[in-house]
Amino acid sequence: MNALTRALLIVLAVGLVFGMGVHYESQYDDRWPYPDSDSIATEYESHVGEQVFLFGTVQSVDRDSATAQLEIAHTTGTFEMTAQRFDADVREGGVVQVLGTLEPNHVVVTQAVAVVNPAGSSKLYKHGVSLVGALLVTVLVFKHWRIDRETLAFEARYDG
Amino acid sequence: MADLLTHVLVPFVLLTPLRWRLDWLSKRWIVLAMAGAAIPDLVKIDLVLDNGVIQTTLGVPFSYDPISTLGGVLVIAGAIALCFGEARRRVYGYLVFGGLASLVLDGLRVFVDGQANFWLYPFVWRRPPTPSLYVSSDPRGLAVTLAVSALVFLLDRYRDTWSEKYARSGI
Repeated sequence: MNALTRALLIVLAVGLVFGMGVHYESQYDDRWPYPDSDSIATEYESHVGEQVFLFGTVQSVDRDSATAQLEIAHTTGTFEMTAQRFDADVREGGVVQVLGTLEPNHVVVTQAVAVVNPAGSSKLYKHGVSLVGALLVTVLVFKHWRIDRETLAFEARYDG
Repeated sequence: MADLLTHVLVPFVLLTPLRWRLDWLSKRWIVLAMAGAAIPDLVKIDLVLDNGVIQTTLGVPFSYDPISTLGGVLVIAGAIALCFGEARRRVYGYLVFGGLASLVLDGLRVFVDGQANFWLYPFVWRRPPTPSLYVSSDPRGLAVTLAVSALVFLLDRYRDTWSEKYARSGI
C-alpha cells in the first residue's frame, strides 16, 4: 500500500469519526434519559418537576442551609442553579454530578450527588498527570519505532 | 475518565507479565498498546477547539464524545495503524487492546445514577451499569497504578538482567 493510498484512507477514517460526532450529537437527546443542559437553559419551565442529571461547577456552598450554587455549562454559555439538600464535601471550583428534581426559579432538590473534582485545583492535577502520561507514551513510542523518510511510515527500530 | 498516565500504564501492567511467557510479545508491541490506551483521551481536543465552535461554524450538531467510545477507538486505531509500514494488522490489534482497556477502566468510574456513559456506541446505544469505583481526580487510583507499575517494571528489569547473565554464562 503506497503513501497516497494510506493518506486517503486516513482522511476517510477522520471523516468517519466526524460523521460519528454528528450522528452522536443528533441522537443524544433521544438517548439520554434526562433533559440536557441546552434544553434546561432554553425551556426551563417545561422541565419543572422532572428528574435531572446535572454536571455543575460549584460557585459556593452554604453548609448551614445545605445548599450550593452551581454553574451549569451548555453549548453556548452557562446558567446558575441552586442545589438544595446538598451535603457533598466540595469546595468552590469543584465539579459535581447532581441527580435531583427540577423546581421553579432555577432550584434543584438533590436526591444524590457525586463529587467529580473536590476543588478547582483537581482539574490542574488531572491535566498535569495526563501531560506526564502523554510525554511517557511519546518517548516510549519513539524509543521503539522511527519514521522512515522514504515510506513516510513508522518502522521498528530493531527486530524483536 | 481516568487520567492519561493511568490509561497508558494499565496495558503495561497487563501485558508485561505475559511477555515473560510469550517470546513474540516484545516491548515494542506493549508500547503500541500503551499508545492505543491514549486514543479515548483524544476527546480532550475540546480543550483546544470547543465542540460548540464547530457546531456554530458548520451549522451541524457535533460532539467529540464518540472518540471515547468503542466505535471511535476502532476507527482511530485503524487510522493510526495506517501510519505504520509493516504488520499493520498486528499494530491495529495492540492499539485496539489498549483503547479497550481504557474504555473498560472509564466504564467503572462514578456516575451518580449508577450508569456509565454511552461508551459502547455505536454498537450499543445504551448506558451500561457502572460500579462507580472511582473519580478521576482521586490520586489514590493513580498511586495504586504507579505502585503496581513500578513492581512490574522492576520484575521485568530483574528478569532481563537475569536472562543476560544466564545467556553469557552459557549454562
